[in-house]
Amino acid sequence: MDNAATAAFASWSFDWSAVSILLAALLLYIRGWLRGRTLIRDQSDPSRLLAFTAGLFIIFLAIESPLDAFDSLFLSAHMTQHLLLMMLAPPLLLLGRPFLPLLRGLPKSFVKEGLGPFLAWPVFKNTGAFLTAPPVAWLIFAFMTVAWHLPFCYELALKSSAWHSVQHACFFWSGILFWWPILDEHSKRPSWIFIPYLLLADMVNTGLSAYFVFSGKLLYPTYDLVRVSNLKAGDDQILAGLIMWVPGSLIYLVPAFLLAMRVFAGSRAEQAPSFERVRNRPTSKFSWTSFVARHRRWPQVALLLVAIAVMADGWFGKQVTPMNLAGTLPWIYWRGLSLLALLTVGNLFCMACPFILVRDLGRRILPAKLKWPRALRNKWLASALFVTYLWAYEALNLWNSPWLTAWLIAGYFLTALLIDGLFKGASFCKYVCPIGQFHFVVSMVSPREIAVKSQSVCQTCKTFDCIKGNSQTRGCELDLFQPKKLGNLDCTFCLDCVKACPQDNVSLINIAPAKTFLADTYRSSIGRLTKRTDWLVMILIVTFGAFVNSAAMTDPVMMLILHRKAIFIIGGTILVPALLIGICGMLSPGKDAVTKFAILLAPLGIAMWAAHAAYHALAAFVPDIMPLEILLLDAGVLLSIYLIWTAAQGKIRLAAPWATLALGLYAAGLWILFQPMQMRGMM
Amino acid sequence: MKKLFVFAIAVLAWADGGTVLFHKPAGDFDITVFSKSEAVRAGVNDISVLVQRGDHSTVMDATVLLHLEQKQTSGDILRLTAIATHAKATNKTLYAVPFNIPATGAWRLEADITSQGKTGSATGEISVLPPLPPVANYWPYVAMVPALGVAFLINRKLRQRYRPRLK
Repeated sequence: MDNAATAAFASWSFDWSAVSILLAALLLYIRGWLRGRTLIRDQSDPSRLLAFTAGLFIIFLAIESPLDAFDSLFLSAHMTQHLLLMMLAPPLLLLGRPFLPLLRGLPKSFVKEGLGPFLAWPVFKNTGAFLTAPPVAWLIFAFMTVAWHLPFCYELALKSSAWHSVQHACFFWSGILFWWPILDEHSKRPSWIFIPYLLLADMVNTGLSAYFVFSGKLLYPTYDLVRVSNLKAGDDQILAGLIMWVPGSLIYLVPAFLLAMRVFAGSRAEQAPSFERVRNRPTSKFSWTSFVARHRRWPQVALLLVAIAVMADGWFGKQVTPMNLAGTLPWIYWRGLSLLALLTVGNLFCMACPFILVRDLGRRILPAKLKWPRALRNKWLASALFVTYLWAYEALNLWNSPWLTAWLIAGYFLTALLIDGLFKGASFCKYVCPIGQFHFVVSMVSPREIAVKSQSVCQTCKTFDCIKGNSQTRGCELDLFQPKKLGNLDCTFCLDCVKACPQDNVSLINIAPAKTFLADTYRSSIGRLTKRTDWLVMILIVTFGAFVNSAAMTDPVMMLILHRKAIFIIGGTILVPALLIGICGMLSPGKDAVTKFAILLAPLGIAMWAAHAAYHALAAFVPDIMPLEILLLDAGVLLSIYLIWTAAQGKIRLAAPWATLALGLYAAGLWILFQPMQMRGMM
Repeated sequence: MKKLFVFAIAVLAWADGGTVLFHKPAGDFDITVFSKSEAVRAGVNDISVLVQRGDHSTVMDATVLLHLEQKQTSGDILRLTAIATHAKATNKTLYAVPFNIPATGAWRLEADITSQGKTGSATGEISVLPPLPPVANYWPYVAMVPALGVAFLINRKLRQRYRPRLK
């Protein structure tokens, strides 16, 4: 193989957005398939999983392989790509019977509350039934096949990437419609009708491919602009026609033949599928939560070693930010990774916090007898420290000083050691650590929570080991009593409660993200959130801090605040939010309206933090990170508005000011994302 | 390790091919210059070059230097130069480079090719349009918010109408 051929076969694109969608579909299917396997044996057929995976792989081949890189140079490559998208991927995906597994893969509440009404909607059902009726599906498929191969339409797709995407979408979805009635296991139609259905489709395919082969004229002049090899455009067209003709026809004829065999043999496979409920499913005794609780020290040790390496490089390494661990790890990758963990699992950073390891070691020497001062048992100090951190980050250019960063980390260790060495409990985590408070707020949208498995088990408990501890292990140092705990606020995921519970009744459980925002009930160690002004302020500082922190890195704002950083940070995190929240509070009547609704802006702020962190962590690897950033912000604003709507119980007058504020913040977030942003800490 | 890192970025970074800007002989070579997007706009553009011999075989070992020139109103010439490589191309038979074009208007694009002691050069005019506002590039992502908002309202209506059936 010569160099050009080798290079051609190496021309894979790996577009992250397409690959992510395919992977997400596969993971969703596998999740649903595994769930279904434990319920109904009929749906655990591994061949279905295999077919669905193969269908996704065919799509991957079509859009990411060298076929895609050469589709504008060779009609034959483009034709193969279309063949895969239209004739091979759809039947394979449908053979995977994807509907139930994909639904099962989604969160139950989303399927029931979100999709359920649409799936039960007669308009939806009737439209689906109409489009998948064999004559309609056949006509759509044949129309798409012919229309998109007309020179005008095909040239349009070659000249415009947007039309090219539309063309591919038409091919794929018309393929789905075409194969749907054939592979519909609940169909009451006799099998034999699909024999002419397939043969007629093959006739259209044959006619079109024969025209490619025998017309003698070049149908798409664009392919004559550049001749990449010895293959002339006309010969390439004949090759494309042959690909469409021979393998294309086989895709129709083989199923038609199999159907004919089945009809003649009289063994129709149209009987209803046998649903056999799986009983006595073996349950595993193994618990990941208990396993992690027992081995929590290892990630702490690992992070401690990383922290030591970061400090050493910060003090003694080259003071060039992108080449120093203290310039890159804490400010670029750690922030992104900890947010990713928070949004997918929970507060994993606090669980593996190296400061706590040092503190625990220090307690073997230090007394830890004092009680944390009553006046400081709130979030005011931590809020002030968080604002100070935002200010210091900008004013002292922390991100650009490995030396200062190293001292900051060392100071953090020392503070944690001193506070928890002198005071009882986890006073540092609960009342001081600004990083911890940030994680507590973000973990309100985490999909998992440490909680009791069964409240009835707790009702018979007399020892309360989860909070008091026992001879083997300590109880919750943050004073969270598991039966009364709600959500992730103040929970460091230390898993002490998991280890302490003698009934093994505390575990990591799945929850609907952000649901606890709406529960204005008593929370252990916190009380009612609407009565905690300090928590409200903390949440708002995190929320608005996201916009302030990001805006400060954009060119227009950097010029504006050059000598006014303190004013910008304090104004942006305290004064402006106070003003906006005050106005919304006046416009939105009702008891506790401010505390009830203002915290619901947090998902938007968290999304802004995530978008910003994604930019810094991924911009070097992903050519265009903007779509991901916008999608994160979209998710944040939609979640905030949904929460506001739910909290207002659909009363527009109550919801309108807060929804308007959320949309205003969303617009501000978009503006920030669209500005040129300083690529801090990167070459 | 660093090479691996740079390679990973290059592989992920740029697609290529697309619209033909010009196709010309360049000494012993024939070159075709593509832009990834339909129109060249001020800002980052992916420019790729196909280098061929007279017999249409692809030249894989060339050094491809691209120069962009624009005459300024002051009379000075603004000249940008970049090396196009296979590493920056998705289609590995092409040589690609992301070119940051700072201004709109007519630009002269020159491609200098060197391979096995032979050299060639070709120039073409390209018209650079003003950049689109970011929202124009990313509107489908922004449109998701109103679209899902409408879907949510329909969902609420349907829930009211079909509540008994959903239970």
